[in-house]
Amino acid sequence: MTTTLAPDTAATDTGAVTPATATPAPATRATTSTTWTERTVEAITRRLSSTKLGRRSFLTRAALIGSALAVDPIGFLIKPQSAWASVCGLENECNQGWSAFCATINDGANTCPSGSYAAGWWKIDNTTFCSGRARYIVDCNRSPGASCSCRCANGDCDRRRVCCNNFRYGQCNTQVRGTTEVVCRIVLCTPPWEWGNCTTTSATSNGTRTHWSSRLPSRTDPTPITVTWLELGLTGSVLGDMVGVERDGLRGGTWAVFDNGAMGSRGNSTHYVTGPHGDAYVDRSGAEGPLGYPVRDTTGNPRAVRYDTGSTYRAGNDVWAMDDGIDDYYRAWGEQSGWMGAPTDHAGPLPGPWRAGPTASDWWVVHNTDDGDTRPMRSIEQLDPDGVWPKTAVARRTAGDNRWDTAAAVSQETHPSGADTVFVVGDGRSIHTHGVPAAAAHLDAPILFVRQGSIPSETRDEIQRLDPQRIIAVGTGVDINRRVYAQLGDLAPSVERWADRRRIITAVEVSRNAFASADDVVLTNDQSHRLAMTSAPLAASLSAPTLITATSRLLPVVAQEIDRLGANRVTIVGNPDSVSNAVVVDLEDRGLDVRRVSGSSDLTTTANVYNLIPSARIVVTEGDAFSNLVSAASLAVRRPLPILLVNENSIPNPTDQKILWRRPDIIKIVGHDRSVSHGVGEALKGYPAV
Amino acid sequence: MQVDEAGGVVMPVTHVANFALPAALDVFCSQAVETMAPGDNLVALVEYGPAEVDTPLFERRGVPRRLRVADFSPKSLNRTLPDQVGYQEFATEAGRAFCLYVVLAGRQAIGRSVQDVNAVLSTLVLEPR
Repeated sequence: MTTTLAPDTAATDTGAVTPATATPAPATRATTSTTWTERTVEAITRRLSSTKLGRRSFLTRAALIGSALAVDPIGFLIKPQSAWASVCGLENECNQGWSAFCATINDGANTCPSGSYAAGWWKIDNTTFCSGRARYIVDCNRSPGASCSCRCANGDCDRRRVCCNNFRYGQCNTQVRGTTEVVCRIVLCTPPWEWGNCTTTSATSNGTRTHWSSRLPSRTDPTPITVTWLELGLTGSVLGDMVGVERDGLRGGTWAVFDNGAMGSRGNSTHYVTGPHGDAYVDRSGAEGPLGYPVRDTTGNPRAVRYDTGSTYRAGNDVWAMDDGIDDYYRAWGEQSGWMGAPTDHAGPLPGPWRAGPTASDWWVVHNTDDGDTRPMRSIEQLDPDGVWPKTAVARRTAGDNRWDTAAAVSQETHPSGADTVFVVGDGRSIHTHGVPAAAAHLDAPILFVRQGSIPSETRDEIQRLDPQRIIAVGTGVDINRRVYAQLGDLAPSVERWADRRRIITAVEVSRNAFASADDVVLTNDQSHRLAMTSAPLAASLSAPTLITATSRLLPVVAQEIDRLGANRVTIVGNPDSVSNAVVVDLEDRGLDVRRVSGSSDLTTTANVYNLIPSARIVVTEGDAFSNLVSAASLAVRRPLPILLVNENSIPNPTDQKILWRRPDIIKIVGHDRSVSHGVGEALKGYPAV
Repeated sequence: MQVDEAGGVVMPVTHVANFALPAALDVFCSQAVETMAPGDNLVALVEYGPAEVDTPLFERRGVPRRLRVADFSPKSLNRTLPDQVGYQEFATEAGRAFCLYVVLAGRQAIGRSVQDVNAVLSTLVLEPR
């Protein structure tokens, strides 16, 4: 019993040196040239096919003979052996003593079968299969407690022994005592100590160089995808079986589809993706599509999977793809956790140079392949097929580091050259500011904040810049104490306080002092500071004061102020839950024209007030912060501009619809990004503008 | 010890045989056993690395020095060939991990072969590194 192998150190995977021109082309590469191997296969197949064969039989036989020539050309051509024997290498019969490959007995799976474990390994040096590096064989031995019986494998040509040889190489899983039978063996290119629970103690057996199985990939010139799949376990891998063949991807790589995912390979990078993300990757044409190649191995269903030119994202039960510039933008803005929310479909092409990805926020991430720019857009209806970006809103933020600073910033914007009159209000202890913005508009005055017991430096600096002749402090000592009131006297020649301990009467005081007369009055509920502020631009547009009332009835002092003003129309802002119909009847009984602007909530009421103020610019702020509302009103009454409310991290539907309808060219944001986030600021830039 | 390109550590191996061994010999002599004739004996003492010392597989104290005929089995072979029997044991001795592997050819004279192997094993001295 002898072998004819060349010395181990010089042998190649094929067991012999082949002519340089005989190197077969990689299995996945189409080639138009006719190689030596191809010509030989053709000739031999014809010779062997002396009987008449159908086309399918001819192809099967040709493939088998091609494999035999590839792995053992000299042996196949000069020795009396079958093509199958050349595929499986030497010593492939049961009585020749070796153990079978797991792929042979395990339905193509290059994994240890159930009831066995990796028990040891050896290597074969300088193998073609592993790109010139060692190929490793890991024995799977019967697990203690499991059972199996000695038999011969019934592979196409691998008929070696199964569960017969009671032997162990001993470098893997040494926590398992004793020696059991070798069930089968698996093939790796990765060193076993990197692959599994094995040590580096090396054993070499180059005499087994030709051993192989017809259920393993071709032993010559495997692609990186083939090797990676092999090491994952072939059909026993998380990917399952390969569907079709490996195919060319973009930019010189390749990719393959599997039962449970896909794998891409380009340069030195080969990675796979499984599960729903794998399905989405295949759906987007894999490496032939916009996502490019996976950049790391992925199993399960993580929130996001990266590819070299895009990502796939989990969105509920779906997975959607964002690619290239679209994905860069989407990632920069926090992906599913950002203001745009999860994708709602794959990003895809639109007419012209456009690509766009939809998100749960109803914003699209739009990418222009002509100029490479990417922007958020609330609507894609206006995209020009010629690639000209549609006009969108300009969003500008007016804010400081704190409430006093933000008020000062608004003042600098509305009164860059100073002001004769300045309103000063408390910063929120008790709220007496309902009528102030309308009065400030009437008197052309900015509104600044003080603490109850001190004047913040930001406010003091701004008052000094404004250089007013008159400071009007609105609020009782609860808001502005005597000491602060006295300090204000150092900042202007005249200081006066307009206040009552009841806010309804404070509003009357503000109206009485600021307005000699008015045709219109805006009336809101005394408990809704928010509506008083967002309706202030309406009051300003009507040159009207803002008065407030209890829900159920109109106090005589308010009725008297309306009489004093000589008003003939009252605009009630708020639904009957905030200003009752009894108040309406009372006003009408006084001969006044009464109209109501309302909605089901403050948010929708605010949005409806918006309808009454025609402007191509709007002011946006967050609706819960007292100081932001006052500052927004102070800015909005100047022109006047309508105010709309947003949440810190989202744009509510009523606000969204109003902006879409109006298409403002400038949106002024009032408040720090702690109250109106950067994301909302970015979203506002995506609205179409007139 | 040699470390190969990938990081595998080649540990010392001792092969003793009463027949000619080829120059190129793998650890467990899987090709050389093809040439064994009845009466040929092969002993391989393979050292493992520090990671294996005292692990459950290597928990036996001391490499066996005296084997019995009953210790051998035609199943206990890396490569099962006709008319051959084998023996394999893992052990720790002198703070070092070893595998003793013995192949005997020809069952007719196995008693004599075991005596010869024991004679060799009795001379074995393993010292701490």
